[in-house]
This record gives sequence, structure tokens and C-alpha cells, in this order.
Amino acid sequence: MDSKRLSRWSDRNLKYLLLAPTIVLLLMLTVYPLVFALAASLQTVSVRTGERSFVGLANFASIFSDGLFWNALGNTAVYTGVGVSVEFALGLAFALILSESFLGRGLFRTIFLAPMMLPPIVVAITFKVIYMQKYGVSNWLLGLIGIKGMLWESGPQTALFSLILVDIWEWTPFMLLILLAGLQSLPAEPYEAAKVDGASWLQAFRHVTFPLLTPAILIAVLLRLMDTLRIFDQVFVMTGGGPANSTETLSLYVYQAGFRFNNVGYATAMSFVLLVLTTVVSNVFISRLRAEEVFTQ
Amino acid sequence: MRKFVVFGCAAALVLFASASAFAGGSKEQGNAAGGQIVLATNNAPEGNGIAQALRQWGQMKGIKVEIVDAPYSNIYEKEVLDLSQGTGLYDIVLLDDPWFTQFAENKWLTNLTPYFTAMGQGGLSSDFIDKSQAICKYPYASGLIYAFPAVGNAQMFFFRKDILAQYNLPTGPATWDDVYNVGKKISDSGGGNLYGYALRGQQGNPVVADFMPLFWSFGAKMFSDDFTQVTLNTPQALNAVNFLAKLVSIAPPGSASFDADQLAQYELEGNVAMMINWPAFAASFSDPTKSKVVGKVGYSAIPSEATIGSSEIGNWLAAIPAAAKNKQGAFDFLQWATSASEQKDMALKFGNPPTRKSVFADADLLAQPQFSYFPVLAQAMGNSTPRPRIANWNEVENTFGIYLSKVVAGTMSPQDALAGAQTDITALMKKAGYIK
Repeated sequence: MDSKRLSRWSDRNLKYLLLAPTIVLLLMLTVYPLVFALAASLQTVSVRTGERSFVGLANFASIFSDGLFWNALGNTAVYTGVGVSVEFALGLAFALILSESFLGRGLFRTIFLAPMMLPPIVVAITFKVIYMQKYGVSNWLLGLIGIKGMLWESGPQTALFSLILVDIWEWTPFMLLILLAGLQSLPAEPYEAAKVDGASWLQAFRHVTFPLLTPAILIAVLLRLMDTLRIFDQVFVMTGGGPANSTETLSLYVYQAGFRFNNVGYATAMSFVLLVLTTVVSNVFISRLRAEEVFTQ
Repeated sequence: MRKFVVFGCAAALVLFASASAFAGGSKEQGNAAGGQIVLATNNAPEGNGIAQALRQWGQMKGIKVEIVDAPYSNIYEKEVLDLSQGTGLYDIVLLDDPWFTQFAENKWLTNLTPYFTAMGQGGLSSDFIDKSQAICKYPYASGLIYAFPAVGNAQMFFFRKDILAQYNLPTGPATWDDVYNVGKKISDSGGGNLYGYALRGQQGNPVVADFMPLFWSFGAKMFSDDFTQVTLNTPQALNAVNFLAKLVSIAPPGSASFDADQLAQYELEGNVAMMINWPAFAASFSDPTKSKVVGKVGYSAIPSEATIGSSEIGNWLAAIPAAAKNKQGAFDFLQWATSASEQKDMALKFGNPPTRKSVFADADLLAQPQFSYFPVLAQAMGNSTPRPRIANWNEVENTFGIYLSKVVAGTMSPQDALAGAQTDITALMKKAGYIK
């Protein structure tokens, strides 16, 4: 092969050669596990002998009659709904405050962002100590204002909300970060026009800030939704799903079924349901986001 | 077409290169495994004791050793992954007793009987406590030996000697009725700072492990002897769960989330008079830097009721995976690591309870205050009851634990909880093939 032909061959094919390792690696890391999981979801493995047998869609069918699954789905929905809503409301409020100029703004920003830098496991262990019924600082503080005996993660009525509170503490800064970045990137002209038109702060927020901030809001809420739908660490460390199954989430149930009870097929089937759920919820936001982009263009 | 050929060739090259690299890696491992011993263990005192012994063994024998450790909540899945795939990554696995039946029934462990025979021994030394030997065999007590009893453990009844002496029970309560009656008086007069009884109510393993001794004392059983029937729908079982609900009424608020460490905290702070717990916490009660109750905590056997009280045995077992690469090396180490002298050393260094009768009777150890509970623990292990020897115990325990948690949290009546548990556990036993 003379050098001219080699050069032509190289021009045409070098890109494929260079891309090949990455694509093979991607296929190994994404497609193979997905196909493997799909195959596993159609099988059952005996806990006594390890024998595998093909059961078709039986694992998926079992989900519908499994009370524990529906309980976990309900807990996950409450956790996601309440947690993300409060995080959004607080994140937006703090973002609006921190977008204004005042003395010590930089310090406040750093302090507000600190919780999200901590590993979730560390946060969970810390809050477990804070929530301790007799020795925890939370009940000591409440005692100072005359409230005594709060059960926190020990009570079936309060446990889920105690976990949500931890999530809010840790992840409101994430909302704050994205919304603050969104606020600071907004153009000044619409505000000047609104001011000339005599708009109040509330009117400017409602008719200028909120519509312009919508893409940032959608991204922040979407990322938090995807995260909370598969919440695991805090529940695993703080309550193990109790008391009375009041905090068992879908991810924890999938983990238990797969890794503690060796029902790999059933756990994989539930994982697919969780995947579909996350995809559907995400797509609602993604399609809205696309519409927003078209609108802004 | 050409681009597909080029892409395919490049992909094949990458795969070949990767495969060669992995093949090279496994060959190297295979060579090194000639004398190497790899241990999988939990990173708590019981696991650390065995790990330390293995390091010492490696130095003595001049062999390479490797410790793969993980927290209790992860070591089970690590071990199951290796054992079920037969990768032979580990030469020794330290396992909690409730996992043993699943591991042995799946043929994941090495039958140790031929190794004992080759050494001219009939099996495990008779110095090991009988109940500890029994849980190393599959089927239970009568079958082949698949493990060494590495670390001793069984629940004990902890009580405040100074407080119970005021109620004429200086050596601890003899019956569960005594526990409740005295416990109620203590809680009623404690003003929220002293409770009569504390229990582990956390959903899952904690609440079940805490409840089983009470359950057995009331003459209840979870299964028929051949595991073909679930027997939670009996008057004895109902009496036991009703009694659990009574104990909750005299326990500290928040019991529904308590595990063993929270109970120990209540004991260390002097806020509780009685509890069931594991011996691992005993040493801290006599440590003045941690404890407000030095010299005040007594230990006794589990109280009786309809039958003699019996604690749940929870030994840590050391086994050799069926796919292990250095079985003889692992066996030789375990023989040494579970010898009387090594168990004494582990007790002194890590506070690990032994499984040998001679170590429990060792005069040097008994002379030290932190081992004052040894006679009670030896008796508790000798009179202990194992968890049901079924391969799906993890799932059965979790199911029972959810219902017990509901009773402790007060969201379900004992009758409904037992009826629900009976139905769900029967379904699990059918799925596993124990009930046809």
C-alpha cells in the first residue's frame, strides 16, 4: 500500500478505529448489564439449590399482588413528592435572597451549600444520633420550648417525615445552587421594562422571573426527582425500612429482595418497574424542557 | 460496509487485548495462591480477631495473606456473590450462624470431615461447646462438618444488681412475669429517667432476635420439626406476642427503632434495669470512661415461663468455600486459630467470647472483671437454641420482623400480626419447597 492510499484509508477509517474502544466499553458497561438484567428478570433462582428456571413474566405479575411493593411505592411517592416540593420552595426562597447584594453574602452562600458536600451516609449517621429519643440534640432543643418526647424516626407516623427532613436539609442547597445560577443569568432588560411599567416586586417575579427561570427550575426538579425516586442510603442507615414498614422505599425493597433474600429475578423485575417509573416522570419534565427551549428560541 | 469491517476489527482487537489482560491476571493469581490465604470477614471485633490471627499465621509460616473486610451489612452479599459464582476468591469466609444453612444447602462450602480424618481426628474437638459444634454441621447436629465455631456468642439477660436487689431479685428475675412486674414498678417510679426493661424493636433482624428467647420461653415454636408446617397460630405464640406488647408499655419511648447499641447506651447511662443483649457490650459496662454503672450490671440466663428460658445462639463460624484455592492451608490455619490458646488470646485482645469449654474455665480470664460474665455465657451457649435451620431464614426473619415491628409500634394487634405472619411465612416456605 503506497503512502497516498494509506493516507486516504486513514482519513476514511481512523475515526472509527479511535472510537471503537470507547464504544465497546460503553456496550460492555451499559447494554450488557441491561440485557443481563432483562434475562434475570425472567428467571427465578432457588434459594436452596441455586437452580435457575425460566418463569416468563411471572416475576412482573407477582408485583401486582405484592403488598410490600405497593407500600414501598407509596412511601417512595410521599418521600419524593413532599421532599422535592419543600426543597424547591426553600431553594427558590434562598436563591432569591442570595441573589441580592448584602454584607456577608459570600459567607452565607458557602454555609448554605455545605450540607450537599457531605456523603449521604455521614449525614444519615449524624441525624440518627441527633434524632435519638433520649440522648439526641433534637429533643433537647424542643424541650427548651416545652415540646417533649418527639419520636422522630422511632414513630410509625413520624419516621418517614423525619427522613424527608434529612433529605431537605441535605439537598435544598442543590436546588439553591441551580436556581441561583439561573437567576444570575437572567437579562436585566425585562426587569427594567417592568419597572418602567410600574410592576411591583411580586408582579415582576410572577411575570418576568418565574417564566425566565422555568428551564432552571425544570432541570433542578428533574434531577432531584430522579434522585429521590431511588433513595436508599438514608433509609438503609437510619430505619432499615421500619418502624412497621413505614419507611421502606422501592430501592430498599429491591436491595433486600436481591441481596438479602436472593430473589434476584424478582428484584430485577422491580428494578425495571422503578426504571420505567423514573423514565416516565423524567420524560414529562424533559418534554416540557424541550418546549421551553423552543419557546426561548 | 468498509466502515463496519474496520470498526469490527478494532472492536475485536480491543476485546482480545482485554481478554489477554484478564487471562494474565488470573494466571498470576493462580501462582500466588500456592501458599496464599484470603479471608473474607466483617470488620467488627469478632472479624478483626480472626484477621489478626491470620496475619500472625502468615508471618509464622512465611506465606502471603490477604484480608477482605466489610461491614456486617455488606459482608453477606460479598460472600454470597463469591460462593454462588464459585469464583474461589476467598479461602476462608467468616459467616454469621444464620447464613450457614443456605451456604451448606447450596453446596457452597467444603466438607471438612475428610480433613479431620486425614489428621487422625474424628471431627471437631470435644472441647468445643456441644451447641457450637451442632451449628457447624449440615444437617443440624447430625450431619457433616462444614465450619469451625470461631467466635462464641449467645444472648444473655442483663440486669442492674443494685436495683433488682431492692426488689428481692439479687440474682436476676427467674420468670418473665418477674421481669414485667418488677419492670413496671421501676418504670412507674423512674420518672422517665429509669425504665424497667428495654427491648430491640427495630424492624428486621433486631426485633426477631430479641423476641425469640421470649417466644421460646412461652413454649412457642415457629415451625414443626420437619419445617413442613408454620406454627405461629398457636395459643403459646399469642401469649408470647401479647407479653411482648406488655413489655413495650414499660420500655423507653422509641423502642420501635432500637437496636443493640441503643440498648447498651441506655445501660451505660444507667437508664434501664433489664434487657436481653449480646455479650459484646459487657466489657464496656465495666469501663469507667464509658459507663456510669461500673460493677452494677449482673448477668443471668434468659428467664423462664412455660418452659426453661433459652437464648438464641449467634456464633461466628469460619468455613472454607467449595471453590477455595488453598483448602489445606485454610484448614491448617483454622485448626490453629480456633485452638484454646488462640481463643484466649483473642478474648484478651479483642474481647471475643470463645467457643471452647476450657477457655471459658480459664482461671486467668475469670480473674479479670471484664470476663465476669463468662460462666453465664458458657451456660447460655450450652442451653441455647439455634435459629430455624432453613435456607431462606433471612426472608422469613424479615417478614416476621415486619409484623413484630408493627406490634412494637402499636399499629397492629398481636392477633392480627400472628395471623399475617402465619400466612406470609407459609407462602415463603412453599416457595422455598419446604412445604409442598
